[in-house]
Amino acid sequence: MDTIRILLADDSQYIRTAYQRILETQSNFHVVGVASDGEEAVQKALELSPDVAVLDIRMPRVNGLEAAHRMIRELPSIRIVMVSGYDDLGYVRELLKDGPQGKAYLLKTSIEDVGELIRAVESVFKGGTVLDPNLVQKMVRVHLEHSNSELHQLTDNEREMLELMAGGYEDQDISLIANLPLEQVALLTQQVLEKLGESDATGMDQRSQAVVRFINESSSVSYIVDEGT
Amino acid sequence: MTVNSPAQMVTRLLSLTHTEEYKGQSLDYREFSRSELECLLGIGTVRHLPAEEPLTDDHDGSTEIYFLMEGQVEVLVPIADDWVKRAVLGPGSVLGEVAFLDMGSRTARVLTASPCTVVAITREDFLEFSAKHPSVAVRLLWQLGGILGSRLRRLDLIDATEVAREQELKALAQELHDETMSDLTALSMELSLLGRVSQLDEAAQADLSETRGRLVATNLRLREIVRGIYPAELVNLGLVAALTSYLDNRMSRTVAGLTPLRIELKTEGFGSQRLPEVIEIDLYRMLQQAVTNIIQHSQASEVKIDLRWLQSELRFEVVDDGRGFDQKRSHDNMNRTHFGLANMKDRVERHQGLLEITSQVGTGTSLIGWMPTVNREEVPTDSSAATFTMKADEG
Repeated sequence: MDTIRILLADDSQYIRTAYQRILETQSNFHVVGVASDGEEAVQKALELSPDVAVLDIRMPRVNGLEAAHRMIRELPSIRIVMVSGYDDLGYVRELLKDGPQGKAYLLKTSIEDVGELIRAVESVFKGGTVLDPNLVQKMVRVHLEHSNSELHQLTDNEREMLELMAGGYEDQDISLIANLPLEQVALLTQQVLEKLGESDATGMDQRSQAVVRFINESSSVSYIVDEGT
Repeated sequence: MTVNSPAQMVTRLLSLTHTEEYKGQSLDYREFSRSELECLLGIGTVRHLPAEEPLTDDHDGSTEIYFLMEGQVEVLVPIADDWVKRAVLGPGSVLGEVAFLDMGSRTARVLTASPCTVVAITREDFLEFSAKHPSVAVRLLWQLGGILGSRLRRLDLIDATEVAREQELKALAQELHDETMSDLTALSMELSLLGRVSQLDEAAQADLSETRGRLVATNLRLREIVRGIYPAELVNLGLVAALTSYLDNRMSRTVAGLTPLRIELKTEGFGSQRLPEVIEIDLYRMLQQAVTNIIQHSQASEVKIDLRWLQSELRFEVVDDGRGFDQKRSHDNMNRTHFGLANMKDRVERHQGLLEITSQVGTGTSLIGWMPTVNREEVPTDSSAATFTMKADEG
């Protein structure tokens, strides 16, 4: 298994301790650095070149979003897990604006289930895009939708697949969550990607694009993510 | 001593001028000569009232001004759903001057606290008097202006206090949201981890998981409390995000006996631009109050909320298809903050805006508002629409 080198940044000592303990339950996770504000996080990232940075969105001096963009400018392959107390799409857009690959947006309330943090780190390491499942649910609930949304061409089953994909789940996870055979899930997710015209990209990139599409189409506010791969 | 004749009343008034007791609501009668005062009071009607009798009531339609000669009165103002005592006034005080000057409705209820003697002067008689004695009339009006001025200064002070209070609430909510709640999350994570990695027997595992459940519930409750104190989204993300979040949260709760409700929120012209913070919080609270009214009183099934930020003005509408109310009959209820309507108007009017409330029994209620904003060089073309549904509680 690949070793994943992780940098943590949060202004709460409690949170830093909790993250460190949780992440180090995974034998291949190594917390290589810890920072208590955004400025320090950027410096440590440049020093240590970690694989993944887990950042709090609100930190003193430099906030999590700005810290992430600065890290990506200098270290294009760094992966970001943003942890936020705000279930708002505005912040998600801001996070994804320099590309969706290898990025997760998690809500504080969701990571009380420690498995979610571990899952997000694993997924972004592979280049995936993870939207907090509770945020996906909110988007579905609130129906922020264009009347001409491309999502209308999806069947109910396919929509459920897309929502789970937006949550960063791979086919195996989806099969467990939706209680469907893996072959059927694979077929459905493939149909979703084809209908959304993402068949040019491959693998995780394809799924990341589908997440961006989900956000774009689920929100009638114009979206500014650069979709170039 | 009973005072009945103008001469007696003047003697009485001039004897009061040295007491500072009721200053602020009393004229300086020394600015007038005895004969001027006699002439003025002579056009009025003397009234004797027993204790605990109303002198004016809010919305009673009268516009006379009163000079209190004998006795004490209590001034009561409507706050929330109650009458709250604001002042006790004694001889020499002037009462009812606001409606006398602007012909509007009475702003307060004045009750006699002891047997009272007042002189009541109507607008018509005063107009006639002022034609004959312009110099006396001008001095009297100057003094009334002074009384209103000092009251306005006090109001400004109250406004400033309220703004300061909102700032304190904001700081408190931010600290709770970003620090305390975050720390609770950390503790909950640690407990969750303990359950995973330690070799606990089944009973200990169950205890641990129950404790963690309580911690999570506490944190969720705290989130609701913090949202009530000051919405964190408003600080960080602005009006549209905060409203979306509020509606999503409010509508996900069902309340017993309610009809299903659908709210549509449309916004236009916001983009990533922000309104001034003081406007955001007042609009947020005003719309929150409107939604609460609809949920609690209207029995509506469809609500449309429209917010449009144009180049230099804001337009907003809340229209429901509920049972509405009779505006004539509930006129005093309306202004008496019965449904918080006066408070909603105030939140708009303090930013030089207007809020028009129209309702009819059976056809619903609409709030239509307007507010000026600073001229914008660039108006974002963004628009958004969100729908929220509240299911009726079947239980």
